[in-house]
Amino acid sequence: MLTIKRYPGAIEFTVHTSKSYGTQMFALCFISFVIGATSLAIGRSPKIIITLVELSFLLSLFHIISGVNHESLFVIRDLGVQTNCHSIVPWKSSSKLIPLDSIRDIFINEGFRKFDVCYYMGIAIESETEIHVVFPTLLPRHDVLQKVYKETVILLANNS
Amino acid sequence: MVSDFFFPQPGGIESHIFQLSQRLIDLGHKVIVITHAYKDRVGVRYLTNGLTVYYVPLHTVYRETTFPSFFSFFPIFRNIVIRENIEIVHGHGSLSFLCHDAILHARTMGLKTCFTDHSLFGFADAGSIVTNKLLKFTMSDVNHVICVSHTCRENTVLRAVLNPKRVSVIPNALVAENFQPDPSKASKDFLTIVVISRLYYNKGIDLLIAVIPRICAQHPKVRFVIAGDGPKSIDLEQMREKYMLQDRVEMLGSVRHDQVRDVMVRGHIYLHPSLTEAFGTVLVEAASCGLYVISTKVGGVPEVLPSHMTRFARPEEDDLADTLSSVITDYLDHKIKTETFHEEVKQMYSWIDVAERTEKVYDSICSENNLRLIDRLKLYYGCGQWAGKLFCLLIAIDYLVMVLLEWIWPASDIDPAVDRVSSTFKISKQNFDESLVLTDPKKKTKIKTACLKDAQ
Repeated sequence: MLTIKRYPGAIEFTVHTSKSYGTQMFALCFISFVIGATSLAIGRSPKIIITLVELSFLLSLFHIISGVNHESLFVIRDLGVQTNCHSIVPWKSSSKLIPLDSIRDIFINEGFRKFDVCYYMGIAIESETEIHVVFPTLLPRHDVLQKVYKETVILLANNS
Repeated sequence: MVSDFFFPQPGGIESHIFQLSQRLIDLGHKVIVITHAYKDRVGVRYLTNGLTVYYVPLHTVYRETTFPSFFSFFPIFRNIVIRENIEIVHGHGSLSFLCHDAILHARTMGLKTCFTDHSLFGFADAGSIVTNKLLKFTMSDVNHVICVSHTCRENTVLRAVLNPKRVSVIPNALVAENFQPDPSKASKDFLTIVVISRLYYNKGIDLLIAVIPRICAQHPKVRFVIAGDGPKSIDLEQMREKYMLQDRVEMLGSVRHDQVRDVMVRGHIYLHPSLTEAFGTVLVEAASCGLYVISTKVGGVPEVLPSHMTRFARPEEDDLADTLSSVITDYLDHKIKTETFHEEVKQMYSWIDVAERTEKVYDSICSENNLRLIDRLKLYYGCGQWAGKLFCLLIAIDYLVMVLLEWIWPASDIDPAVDRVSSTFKISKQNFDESLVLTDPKKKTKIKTACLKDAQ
């Protein structure tokens, strides 16, 4: 889901996660319950198994909650762009400012990610060999990226 | 198009896939190529005419063939097929495991499939037995098979136990404009014999090693130019050292496909000592460049060129040496005329013709009904006492994997691919908005950003 906030000479694009936490939580609880019930039925060292189930449940819960929940691109007319990654845990949050004079190109391309072929929006930076990917975790759909790309280019192109 | 063999690797299959894809695009079809990654060439690349190539990151095991993964390739293949809205999956090459995997998954997904065989195989050795069993597995449920020569067709029908009615012959072709003769490049002092081949055993390099010293001893005005690379290059080097033929045998190493013509026009005669060959596109290329062709009489080679352009020898050292020697004598006596070869080849071979014939195959398979899972299992069950049961198990698992993937990643969640703008699609000036100019305040350089306005 994309939200756009407009300011004088700037735009902020925010992409929110499309994952429904409710469904994930229900699936997690159900699986944990099934494993726990099975281990109790077997009756062999249930305490250890229940402890392991609880531990895995808590780890999975933490993994779901601590995931990146939204990413943003802040475009400022004469200055450049800033990309942000927001999460509850600090080590998953990040921010990067790219000055306008170091932007070589902004583009939309497609590539492989695990078993998926997806579109991504990239920024080629003057002094860096690596492409800086915008919204690297959530990777929104092509129509969203196109909207972000067009507005970003128009805003950055209007400076003189 | 799916195959392990594609550019940047040079070769007949690679060239065939590229040229056929280009002509099919010209005929109005959307074509994509799926192959494995070549070193740092990973991801999605765009070639001439809007041809999209997916270089999938898969491990290769031998001679650029991928490890037979079966199910691990399915998720990414399904993703590509859905996002590109593919209807027909066309695999190339018996030894391409990627092609076999793709055909298996495509049939599970209910897509039409086609397979082109570019090679000849035996029946007795261990490698051939395994390859033939794999081919039988894939061919059990393929809609149509294309072979590059009549010999290849007979070979494939026997190897895969196919109904001959489901097998067509569509030969390779060439872009004649890229293989123009240039007599000025050929040496006036020497008669040059050109060999362009991958230096492997099956390409008859051992025959070549035996023949070169004999010919050099008999004909002082003959020299050889050998282009290509492979494990047999060491043996060639040793032969050159042993008989001290460094000044008469030039080894160029690996050459790119766009450099082949430049090598060919340096020669007068083209020598092709292969032990097995389904078609031999290089023979057509050589004739187009105005070279007289000498080849071993194997596989589909006799079908390729008319008798006045070529002379055949048995794949034996003595016969090849005698044939080559007599051709050299005839050439030096001006009994062989090659001036008309290029125009004749141009009339005989055309990629447009190949594409149109392939299109007819596509049309015929599109009208066929898809088989139910139980009917597919019946086809695979007849593949052998043990193999049949194993194949049925693989198909059942493949079907379950598809159901699982549809549950985890529904087709609606897959982002459809944007159709590439091909050269046939003319963009009018009104469609462009060139007012968008990105200015660098420090360097005062302007980067024009042409944004294609939404037609919708």
